[in-house]
Amino acid sequence: MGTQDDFTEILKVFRVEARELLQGIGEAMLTQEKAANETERQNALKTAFRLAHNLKGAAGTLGLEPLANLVHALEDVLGAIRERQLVPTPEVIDEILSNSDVIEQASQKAEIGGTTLNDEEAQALKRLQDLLPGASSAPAAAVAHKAAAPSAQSEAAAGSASSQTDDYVRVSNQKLDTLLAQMEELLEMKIRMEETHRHIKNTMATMEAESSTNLDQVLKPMRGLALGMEQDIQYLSKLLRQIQDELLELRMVAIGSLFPMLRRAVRDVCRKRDLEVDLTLEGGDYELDRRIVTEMKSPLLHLLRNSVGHGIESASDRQSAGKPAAGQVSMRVTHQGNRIALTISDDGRGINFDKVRDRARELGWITDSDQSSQTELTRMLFQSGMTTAVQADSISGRGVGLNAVKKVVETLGGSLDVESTPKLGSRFRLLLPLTLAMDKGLFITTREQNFVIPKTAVQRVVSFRSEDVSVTDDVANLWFEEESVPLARLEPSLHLTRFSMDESKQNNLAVILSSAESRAAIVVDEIQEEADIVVRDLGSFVRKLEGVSGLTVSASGDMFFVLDPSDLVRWAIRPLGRGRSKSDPAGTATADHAEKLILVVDDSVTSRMLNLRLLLDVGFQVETANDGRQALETMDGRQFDLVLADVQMPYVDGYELTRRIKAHPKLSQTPVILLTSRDRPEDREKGIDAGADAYLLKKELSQAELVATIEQLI
Amino acid sequence: MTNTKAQDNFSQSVRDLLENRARKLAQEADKPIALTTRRNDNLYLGLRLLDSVCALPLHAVKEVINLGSVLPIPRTPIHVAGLVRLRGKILTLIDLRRFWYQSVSGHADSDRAVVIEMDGVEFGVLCSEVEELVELESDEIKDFTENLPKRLKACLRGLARRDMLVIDIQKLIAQRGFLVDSAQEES
Repeated sequence: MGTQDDFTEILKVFRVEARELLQGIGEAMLTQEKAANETERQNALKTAFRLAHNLKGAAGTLGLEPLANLVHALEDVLGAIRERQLVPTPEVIDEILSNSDVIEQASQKAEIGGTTLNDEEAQALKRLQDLLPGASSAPAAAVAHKAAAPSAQSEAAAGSASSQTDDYVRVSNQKLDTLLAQMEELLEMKIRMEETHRHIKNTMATMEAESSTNLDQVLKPMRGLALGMEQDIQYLSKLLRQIQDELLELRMVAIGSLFPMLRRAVRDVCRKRDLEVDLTLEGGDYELDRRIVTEMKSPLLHLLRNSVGHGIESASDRQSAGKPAAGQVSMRVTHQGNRIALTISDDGRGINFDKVRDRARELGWITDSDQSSQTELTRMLFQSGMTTAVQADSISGRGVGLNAVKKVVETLGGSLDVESTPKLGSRFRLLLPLTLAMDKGLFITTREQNFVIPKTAVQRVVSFRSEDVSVTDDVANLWFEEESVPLARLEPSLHLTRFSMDESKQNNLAVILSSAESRAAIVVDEIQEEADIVVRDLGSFVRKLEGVSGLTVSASGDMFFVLDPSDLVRWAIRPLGRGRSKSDPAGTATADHAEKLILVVDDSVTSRMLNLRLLLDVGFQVETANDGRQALETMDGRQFDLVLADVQMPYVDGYELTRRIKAHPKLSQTPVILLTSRDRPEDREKGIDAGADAYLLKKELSQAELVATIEQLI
Repeated sequence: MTNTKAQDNFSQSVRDLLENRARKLAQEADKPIALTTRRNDNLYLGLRLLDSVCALPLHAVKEVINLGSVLPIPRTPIHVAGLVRLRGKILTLIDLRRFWYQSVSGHADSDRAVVIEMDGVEFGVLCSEVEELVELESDEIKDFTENLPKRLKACLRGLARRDMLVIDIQKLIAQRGFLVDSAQEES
């Protein structure tokens, strides 16, 4: 001890401790404010006092004198309240909370040897001292003296607190991830060992079959080896499983760790708006993945602030509406299968759907004559243009809209819905996975490609016949549980295509997926197995892939994409029951080859026919044009999914055609592939400059390559 | 006798294996590799990408790996060759030629990759061959007048030794469309 490094290290620990202690003080103050009886109130005050005393001690030990003085003043105030010399009015609590915030800031930048308080801190000190009884006449000496008396008691309490903190270990997420990665390598090693073991056994079997007496000498040690190895593997497997379980558990955090912050936020809104609210938070013991808890912080803050600031009426309004003066706001955490449900309810005025409808009309989402149902309007509430607009005039929004809340929830693999009744209140319901790490997955095969579907989204696997299916121009529907569910096939290229009766067999398989109260039936060829999966992201390069929520690695080391059920369902039902939406670039429900229209532009009739045949072969719809000029005429007012054009053409060549397409407001999103026989760098560059999405050489090109390129682009 | 000895030898080799592995893993957990800590900005790793030779700044190179099975990723630009596993991590493989030339002719069946890490982004660059380490002083890296595709030029620090493309990884990552982020496309 004693070196600069030691101090820096200790200072870091102190900062974490200070933050926790101050948070504890804030929480205790809120508890005493809402306490049901005097004992509870006294206990909360005792806790607050003890925590302040601990903090003062810690600051003093490190020689952080200015900070210790500041905490000392806080301790005095808390002591005075406990001794009933000071009445904890809401104003006094406000002072304590806001000064705790100042102290927290001060503690986070406290340096060894610092001797002065900055202005803000000095003011905080003064304000705290002013709170003390008799502050104006005699300084706080008498009170400070009293506060010193119960120190023996608080030290005993401090002792129990420190033994409590021994139960907690701070581990960085990064370290945990590394450990998990190492685990996985150990698992791989186990698999390799198993293989070696199998080899040895096979070799022995062969040798035994070709038996000769001498072999015994070889076989004996080998048997020993094999046996030893088998035991090792067994032990290793057991050990690995244990370590993995423990590691996964380390990632879990109680959702209750967010409660103090939520309580504080609700109190702040109430004070600011002069509202009365009874806040109930239940189920804080449920543990969730650390990342989920961290990421849910601002969405939950937002939802609760919304419920209070937007939902709860003034006390007088409430009373004249026959409601209790204090608004009832709650967040309840419960188990729901292997997910966790968070329900945030209020008994306020409810969502104003007329306003939502007006705004939707303004945005052109619905027409004046459209009488959208409440369900549809609710769905619109979560779309991006809507939230900001409605919020700006009425909600206590702080930057994050409902749209952002929904995005966070969905990124975490959860779902969000809302119910609201005018005059009676609103209820937001969030479903979250317990962990991002371990999940159950259904391994399926479609057109010889394997994927995994998260089990949580699978409602049922059904086998159906063609008579259960109704097909209209656009969509196929499956009759399931007395409801018509959109039916689509999953393609290996991660698109859904319309289910075609032509390929219908006696018994077809479909997985019924549910997401956000909608359902879709996804046709697959085979159901493989159900297994525990660890879902991981796709790495730092590909951040998000539509239709995919992550990747999982099987026991044998193969990688599988884990599908995102909410994307699949969304694609299958099309948003808001309208036609193909711009906000849904995936093209979606009917994105088969057969649904894709490609324009082939070439002045050579041979090349044109060759490409036409080639693309028709693999099922695309194809139109042709003889040159760039004709291509532009053909494209006028129509929507092609891709343009495949030759470079050298009369009138308007491939480069020019590409440029014009990319500059056209309606066509610019259409992918263009340029085909050429010239492979000079300057030609390629010209193509790329023009905005071509790919530049292919005729002589190198195979059908497979062309189709692969097209599939990647559309 | 021979029996126990063989077993001893065997468990010794397992122990060695485990020890080596543990040491390697411990090292990775702490700091990437010795190479990156002893940073010399003039060192480059030479790679052959079909007909051209590139130089990658060594401080961004984590290692060179042999590829196992590659999982292609649907719905991604053509320069994204797929995903491989690397010690429990997922690594995206990139075909630089396909990115520069926007053409499907490239390294589709290459079996080696150089792992690059820069600014928190990690990816593998497919290559036909890894050549030697080269030391290039800044004055050896010349501006180029050569007629190179724009997209390639935008990723270069310059040319060295007549035809060696000296790559600037930060510029490469910053190129529009290089990283795949569909969320970004939406907005």
